[in-house]
Amino acid sequence: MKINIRIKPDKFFSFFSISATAIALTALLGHLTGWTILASIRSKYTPMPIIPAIKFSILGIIIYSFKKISSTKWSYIIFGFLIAVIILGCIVLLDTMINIVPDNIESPYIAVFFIFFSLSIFLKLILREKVSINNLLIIIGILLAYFGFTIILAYFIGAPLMYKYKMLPVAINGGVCVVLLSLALIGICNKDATILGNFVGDSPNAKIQRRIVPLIFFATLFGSLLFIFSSQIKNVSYAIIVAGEIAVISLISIIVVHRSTETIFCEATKTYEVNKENNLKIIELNNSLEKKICDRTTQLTALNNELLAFSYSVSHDLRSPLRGIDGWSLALYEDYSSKLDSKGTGYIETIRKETQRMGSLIDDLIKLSHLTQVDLKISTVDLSKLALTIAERLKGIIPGRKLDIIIEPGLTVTGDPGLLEIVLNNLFENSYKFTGPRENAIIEFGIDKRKEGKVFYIKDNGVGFDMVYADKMFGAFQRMHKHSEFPGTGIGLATVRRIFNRLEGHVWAESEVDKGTTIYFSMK
Amino acid sequence: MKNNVILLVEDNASAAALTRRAFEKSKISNELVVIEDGKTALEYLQCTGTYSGRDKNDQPVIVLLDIKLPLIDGHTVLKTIREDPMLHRLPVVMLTSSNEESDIAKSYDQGVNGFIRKPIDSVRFEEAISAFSLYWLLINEPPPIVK
Repeated sequence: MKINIRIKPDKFFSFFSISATAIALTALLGHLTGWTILASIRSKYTPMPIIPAIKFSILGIIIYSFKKISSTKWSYIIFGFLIAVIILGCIVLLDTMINIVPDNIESPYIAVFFIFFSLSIFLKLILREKVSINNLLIIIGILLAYFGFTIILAYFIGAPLMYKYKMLPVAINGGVCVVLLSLALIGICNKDATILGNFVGDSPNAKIQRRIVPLIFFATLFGSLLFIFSSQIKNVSYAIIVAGEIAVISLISIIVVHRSTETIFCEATKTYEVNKENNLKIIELNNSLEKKICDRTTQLTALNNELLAFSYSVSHDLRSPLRGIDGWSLALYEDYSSKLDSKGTGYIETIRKETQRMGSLIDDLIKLSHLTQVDLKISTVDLSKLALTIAERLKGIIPGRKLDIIIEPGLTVTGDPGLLEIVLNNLFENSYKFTGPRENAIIEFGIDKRKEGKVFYIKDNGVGFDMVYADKMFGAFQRMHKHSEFPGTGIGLATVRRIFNRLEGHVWAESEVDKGTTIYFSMK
Repeated sequence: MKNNVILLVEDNASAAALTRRAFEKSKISNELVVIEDGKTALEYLQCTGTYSGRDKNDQPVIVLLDIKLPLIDGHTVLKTIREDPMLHRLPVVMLTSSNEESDIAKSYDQGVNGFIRKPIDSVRFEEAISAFSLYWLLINEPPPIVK
């Protein structure tokens, strides 16, 4: 007795709802054709009245096509229908309570079912995927299914349920519809619920439950039926019947337990084996991961060392021939300038200038590569103080130059003092350089209060640049101006960006040609 | 003539020639001996191998040492000089392209007497050699000869 819900749960539950509709429609057909056996199944049974038959068939269709219609304009019609069903159910109940006309609309028991069932679909329509609601609806579904099951059982036992108290009894096909629709309700809620998690799926827990629960159910059912049928036989004492029942139930229970322990043991062993295998796999994975990390670290260290060796080599070996070029150019100039005209000596000068430039490039490149190697020393840095020192130095370069450097006092930040000094030096030197053509050069350093967090800026009234090239300016060797106008290696802002990358900060620029440039930076 | 040799350990002939030229321009009359690798430099100083016939007491007034050298590098040459009881007081100045902090630190740790980074600008280089000569050949008092 293995319910394999795993395979096609949707179709499984759809089958329930469509069966309910089919049963109800058959009953309706019975009423319409006058062939009432279709509504009552057996002539001595209560037939299913017209109204519940209509409700069952429509509810069956709603559940069957719940996914498709719940999100369309149809949902309003469904709401309307559900409300009508609930109201009708309440009227029937009220009618039964005040005992006015116990007529044949529908049984009060089935009215209770319709109220609960419609409310459930109502909730499902409104709250869809909410786990707690779906859990609740599944519990309601199970209770309703048991209710229907009780009705069917009562027919089997031979005493159509609830004939007493002048109330209309529930038809047997009504009971079947109740069971089917309740199971279908569980079906549409199951996907978004957790409550059946222990009963469906592939887990050992679910497998064991699926094996035991139905067996217990049928054991008790069989035992009870036996009890009832034997009690109808005359001349058999209750003592014998009860003894027989105990014997049968206990026998079936023993078989159930026997069979189940086998399953439990089997599943437990399987679980143990799977766990063991998984553990071994995890250990294996861990080991291989550790080895990988180890390998990568070795590779990285080797790569880093190679990089260090490379930058050392660049600083040492590339400079040496440059010095040769410069030295011999100077020697040529000194020893043979008498044999050269002014053009020739001019060439020599150019060679020497270019050599110097190459030297500066190499030096800056080395500095840039060093930035990624130094260890960070984080502390509170007084940027205003740093800026003041730089300003003093810049003002001293050309004493006669009109240069205003305005520095907001008390600007502090958390970062590496050495690196931040390089940043400010580069930014101030840039502003100094690009305000060169201005008669009244102004450089401002402060904090931008319009922006969120601590955003610092260095603003100048220099020559500026076209913002089209803004993304280029922080790249290495990128220059925004001709070398003859503004000399430089184009590495200053690349250095600044690299420092902010290391300090987890951010730097950007705003500029306008002939108006000036503002460089902003912020720290995390 | 004793005690007036300047020993230049430099593997690049062109660079050595430029250094010689700079010394000549600063009117230094001391003889400049150029050796191209660390091993031969040590042989010269310790009077072994190629230089086994040399007088041990006739040591250079100063050694100008490059760091990157064939066979034995500058740091090892310096270390050997400082460990040699006959040579340990010998003034040694590094003359190199490197300005790596680690190279400078290591040199001083090993007891170097000075560290000059060769500038690319030849005019500045000549100025440096001139100042160097003035100090080490004229102002500085050399160590007494180890006996």
